[in-house]
Amino acid sequence: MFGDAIQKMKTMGVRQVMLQVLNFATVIATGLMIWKGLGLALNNESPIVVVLSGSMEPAFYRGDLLFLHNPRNTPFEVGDITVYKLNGVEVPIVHRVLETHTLRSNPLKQKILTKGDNNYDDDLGLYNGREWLDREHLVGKVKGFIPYVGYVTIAMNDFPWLKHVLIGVLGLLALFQRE
Amino acid sequence: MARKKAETTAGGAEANTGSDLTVDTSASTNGVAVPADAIPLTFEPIQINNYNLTDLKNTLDDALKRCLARPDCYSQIHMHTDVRLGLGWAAVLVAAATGLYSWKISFQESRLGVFIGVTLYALLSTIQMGYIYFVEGNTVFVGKRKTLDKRIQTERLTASSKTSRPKPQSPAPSSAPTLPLSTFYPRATSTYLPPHYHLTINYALTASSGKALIRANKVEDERCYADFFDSKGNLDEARFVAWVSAMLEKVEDEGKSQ
Repeated sequence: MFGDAIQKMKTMGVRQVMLQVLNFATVIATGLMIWKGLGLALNNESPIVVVLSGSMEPAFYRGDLLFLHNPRNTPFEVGDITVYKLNGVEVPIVHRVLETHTLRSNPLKQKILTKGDNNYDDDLGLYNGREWLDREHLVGKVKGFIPYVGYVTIAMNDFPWLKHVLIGVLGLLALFQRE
Repeated sequence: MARKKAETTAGGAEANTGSDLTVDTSASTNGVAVPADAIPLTFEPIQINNYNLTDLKNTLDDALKRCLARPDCYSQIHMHTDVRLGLGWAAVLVAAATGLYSWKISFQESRLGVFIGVTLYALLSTIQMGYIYFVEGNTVFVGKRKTLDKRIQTERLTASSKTSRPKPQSPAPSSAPTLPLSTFYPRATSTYLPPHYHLTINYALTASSGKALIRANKVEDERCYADFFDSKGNLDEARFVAWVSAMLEKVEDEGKSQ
């Protein structure tokens, strides 16, 4: 199989090979730029996240894709669904804001308490010793979601070989097919 | 290397070539029509999927480039490809740089840099796509050749191709009995013939490095893909090269005052 491909490359010539590699690189570059552009538009680092647990049912189920928006100049309010990330914890958590305490002189300084809709208790136990969340810990507010799509990411996380196989197959397709 | 003879199409398809080439029925050319002074060439056997229209066009385009870029023919000008490569790789490098920058620097500080990078990438991509669509278009081959004929003359050849679905012409009134279209094109419908390969060759002869135009010609012709590929998808490159050579002769010599 590879001998045939190498033979094909030899007959193609340098320019054609560079064009094929360019096709592959363009696919990756476009994906990256769309991701970065989306991050800029929504003002946060990872504008798309996947729900891993069922703590926000019936609003969000495991496998939903969430779009996050980081509002720069408006304070968070009770009822907003937010994603927050604590320093020692790997995985960000998406829960609803239960209480806010806002500094009168600077409405952008807030202390926040959250709780998952499907949980019995509020999130105090998850705060790693803190009593309140600061606004800096909140990555963003959920603006929209797409159900079920996130299962692809979950599958690729649970089975890492799937990720490599997928990238390998896409790469081979892009390199050896002509548009 | 002995040339592998691909299966040639049945006699029925040959009746529709409509060309004025002399049919050489000697055993060496296997019944393929070739001009009398053809340079014997060896061809690699090529077999593709008959039903894939993109593959059909790409294969003929490649054969066209091989035919025109022969050492004794035109030397290819790679400007379109080079512009495409240049713009494309510049865009990819911009994207890579932006990605690296946003990875090293924290999000809030890197916003301006990432914004510049994304806009630059969008700009370069748009320019590249605009170039491919508007400037390059259907062009397959651009080549030139310099000859010495009392003064240095430059010939410039541009070949462009597309797939067309021509409408069947209403049959000219003739005394011969007309056969139904489906005899020659089994898959013809009443409104369209099977896909054709439409080739346009533009030729310009200039002197004193492009300032004086001596002669410019254009020749267009289209042939059904079935004329060059057999039922299994093997390309009859000799027949294709013969057709292209005939068009080349016509475009080079038309209007030549000898």
